[in-house]
Amino acid sequence: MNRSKEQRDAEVLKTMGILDNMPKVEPNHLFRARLLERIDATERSRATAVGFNPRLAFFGLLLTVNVGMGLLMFTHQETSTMTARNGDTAEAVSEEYGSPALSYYEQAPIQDSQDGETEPKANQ
Amino acid sequence: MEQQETISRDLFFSGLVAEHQEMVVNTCYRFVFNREDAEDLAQEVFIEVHRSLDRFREESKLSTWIYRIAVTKSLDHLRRQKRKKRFSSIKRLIGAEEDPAASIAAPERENPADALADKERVTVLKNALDSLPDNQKTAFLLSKQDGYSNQEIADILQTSVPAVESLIHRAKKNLQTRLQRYYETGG
Repeated sequence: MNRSKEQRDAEVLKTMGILDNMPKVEPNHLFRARLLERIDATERSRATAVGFNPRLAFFGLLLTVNVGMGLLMFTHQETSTMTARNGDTAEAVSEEYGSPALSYYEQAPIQDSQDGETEPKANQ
Repeated sequence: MEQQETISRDLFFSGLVAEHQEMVVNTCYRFVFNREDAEDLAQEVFIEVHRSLDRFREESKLSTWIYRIAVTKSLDHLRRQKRKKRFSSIKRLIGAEEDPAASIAAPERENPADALADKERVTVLKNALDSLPDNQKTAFLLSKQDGYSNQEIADILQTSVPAVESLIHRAKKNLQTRLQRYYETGG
């Protein structure tokens, strides 16, 4: 749409004039009530934020994780010691009972010619 | 003792709200051109005042301090709106964008054509104002509002009266140039 210079100037003036003719706004009659409500809500949320301190919660979590890890490592060590101790016992038993003095039972049976019974040959 | 202090503080704050609410709402309204947004902003202003009242140092008048908060909040709101506009093309693509003109309150007219023209003018003016630097925009808009002297505007902007006069002059010139360019190109 082509406008003449006068028309354009008139449009500019009208547009600028909006600011001069802007109506005065009366605040809503509930403005103060709403404001006080919002302030109360803000203060309440701030109070809750004070109750729940994220920094404190983080350190609490960190401490719990540390203690948990410590406990886990301690239990693991205990289990390893127990396994080692069980292994030692088994070795001792095997050494005790696996001595050459008791290898009597490991000998091949000797055939008795009379009653056909088998009798192990004593190891001298 | 503490309770008495709280009561007197609350009373003082209530008095402040009663005294300045109209000026604050109207100041915000000049920046955002929307009554509801202006009231919302005015509430944020008073929440900030309530929060920072103890920290207020009497370097300036209390009213100047309150109006400075109002100007800052309004400029922040405009910046947020600008950011939203940048993403509006994406919203338009998915068809979720609402008509931006719906939020602009134009003077009521009986003739729908006049009302439409007014609405268009408000949008054009708003865009032209948005393109001005913040200090020019603030000085110009406050100068158009009853109740602000150049001295008060200078106090709010923390500058001198001649600087304010210069800002208003430059803002007016820039605005005229932008509007003329807009109407030359046919809108």
